[in-house]
Parts: sequence; structure tokens; C-alpha cells
Amino acid sequence: MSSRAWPEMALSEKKLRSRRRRNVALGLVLGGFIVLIYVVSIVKMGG
Amino acid sequence: MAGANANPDLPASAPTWAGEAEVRDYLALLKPRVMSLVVFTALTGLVVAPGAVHPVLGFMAVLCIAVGAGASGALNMWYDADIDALMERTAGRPIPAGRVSRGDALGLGLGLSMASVMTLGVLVNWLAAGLLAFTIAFYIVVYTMWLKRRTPQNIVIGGAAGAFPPMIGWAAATGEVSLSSIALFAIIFFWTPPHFWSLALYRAGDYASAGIPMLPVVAGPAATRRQIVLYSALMLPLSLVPFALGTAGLPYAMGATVLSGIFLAGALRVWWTAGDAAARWMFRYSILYLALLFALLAVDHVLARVA
Repeated sequence: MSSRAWPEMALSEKKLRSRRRRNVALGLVLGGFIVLIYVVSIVKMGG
Repeated sequence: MAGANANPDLPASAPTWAGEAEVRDYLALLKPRVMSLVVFTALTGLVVAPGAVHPVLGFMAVLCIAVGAGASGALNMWYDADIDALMERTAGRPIPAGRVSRGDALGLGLGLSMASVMTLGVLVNWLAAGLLAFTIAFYIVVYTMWLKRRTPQNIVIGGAAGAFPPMIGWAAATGEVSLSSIALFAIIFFWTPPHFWSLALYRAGDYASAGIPMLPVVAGPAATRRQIVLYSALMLPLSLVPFALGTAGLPYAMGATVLSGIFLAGALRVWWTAGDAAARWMFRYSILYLALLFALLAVDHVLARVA
């Protein structure tokens, strides 16, 4: 969906940057969580 | 930010959320300073508990407790956004400052609460997870929603929420609750009133304008100073209970006596001196006191194991 079709929904550059940073942080948290679950699984299977 | 706030729970002067929240705003919702003390006391509970826990599982337990504490902070800020906007100390928080919406804070708090409890239960044990769930519920429902705006005993009873982390750490390591872990709970429980009342003594105006019935607002500074001394006097014998129970050795007992002696002296100074300086010192020292006491407990235990 382009911002041209919905001009009232167009986000400013500042808001887009904030959103990008939030998404990157969320991605890193989820990635870290997956790694942690993997490591704990290895530990539990080993113990 | 865009104009007056349409949210009926916030003052009209509060700015509206503009969707520009940064990652640091969401981190601020988790009250990182409170979280650090929770992490430290939980870690101490985990370390001094008998037996050995795998370091990875220990790390996961402390991480879950930290995230649970952060979730409580976000839920607290969601519910208290109206009074936070009225107090100088809290007006800059993400919701009253208009950087994060209340709905986002609620979603973050609920999501992290469920994630931390479930992860702790599945990966470590369900007793620790149950205690963490109870702690979050107690802090939000009993303290934030019920007691905080109704009684000057708010932080006395509500202080239990902050006292649970070492017990959760202990339960994560052993799968049980013991007398020693209850002693760690009691230390933080009885430390909480003098800690918060010292702050309330020099922030009484702030609390009064927000309508929060803190003890100095309701009973006055003299009664508050007396109560601070009473609770601080209790800390001296209470801090020695881990030694009496065999959880800690003589080095801890000596250090705890000195730290608790200074704590009591600080309280007496608050009682005897007029003005805010003594209360400000007492508030700052109370944080250092708890951190040092638990550090002493952990170091004493580690040294005893090595020897």
C-alpha cells in the first residue's frame, strides 16, 4: 500500500526512523531469545 | 506531539502520543534502576541457595526475574500515568511526557509478564514461576491498584512485592522455599518502609499534590521520622538472621552489623535533625545498604565454598 493512495497515513521521516529502530530492537530481542532457548535446550539434554 | 491530550485519565496539559517512541522510551517503562536491584537480590538468592545450579539455567532464571520486574514497572506506569503526570519526579516518564501510549505500555507489560513467567516455568521450575507470577500480580493489583492511593501503609504491605526476588532466585536453584529464603524476604520487606519514607519526607509536596497518602502527607514528618527509626532498629537483628541460620558466616555477620549500625545512625539523624538533608542521605544510603548487604552475603558464601 503506497502512501500516495493514503496520503493522510504518510509517516514523517522521523517517525519512520523511530519505527525502524524499534523493529531492529525487537528483531534483536527475538533473535537473542531463540539463541537462549537453543542453548538451554542443549544444556538440558546434556544434563 | 500534537496538542492537548484526549485521554480522560491524563491532565489536559499532558501531550498526546505521536508515534515517535524510541527504544529507550520502552526501556524506561521497565524501570531499569529498580530492575538492577531486583537482579542483584535475585542473583544473591540463587548464589547462596544450597546445591549448584547450571550457570546457563541460573542466568535464565535471573533474566526471567529481571524481565518480570520490568513488566511490573511497565504495568505500574500504565496504571499510574495520571498521577505520574502530576509529580515532578515522574512527570518526565514516557507516558506522561507523551512519548509512549498507555495501550503500548499495557501491552508491553502484559506480554513481558506472560513471557517471563512461562519461560521461567518451562526452563527452570514452576515454583519459581508461580512466585514470579504472584509477585507481579501483587505489585500491580494489591500495591498499585488497591493500596497506593488508599492508605499510608501502601509501601509497608506493597513492599512485599520487592522482597520476593531473592526468594524466587532461591526457589529457582532449589525448587523449594526455606526459612533462609524467608529471612532474605524479611530483610527487604522491613528495609522498604525506611527507604521509601526517607524519599517521601522530602517529596511530601509532590505526593500531596498527586493525592497519594504517603505517611508524611497523612501523619506528618514527626510520625514518619519515628517510624523510620523503628523499622531501622529492626534491621540490626534482622540482617543477622542469615548468620543465625547458617546461610552466612562470621565475615558477613561483622559486615552486616557495621552496615546496619550506620543505617540506624542515619535513621536517628533523620529523627533528630530538621530539614531534608538527613532524609536525602538516608534515602541514598538505604540503596547502598541493601546492595552491600546482599553483596556481602554472596561474597561470604562464595568464599566459604572455595575455602
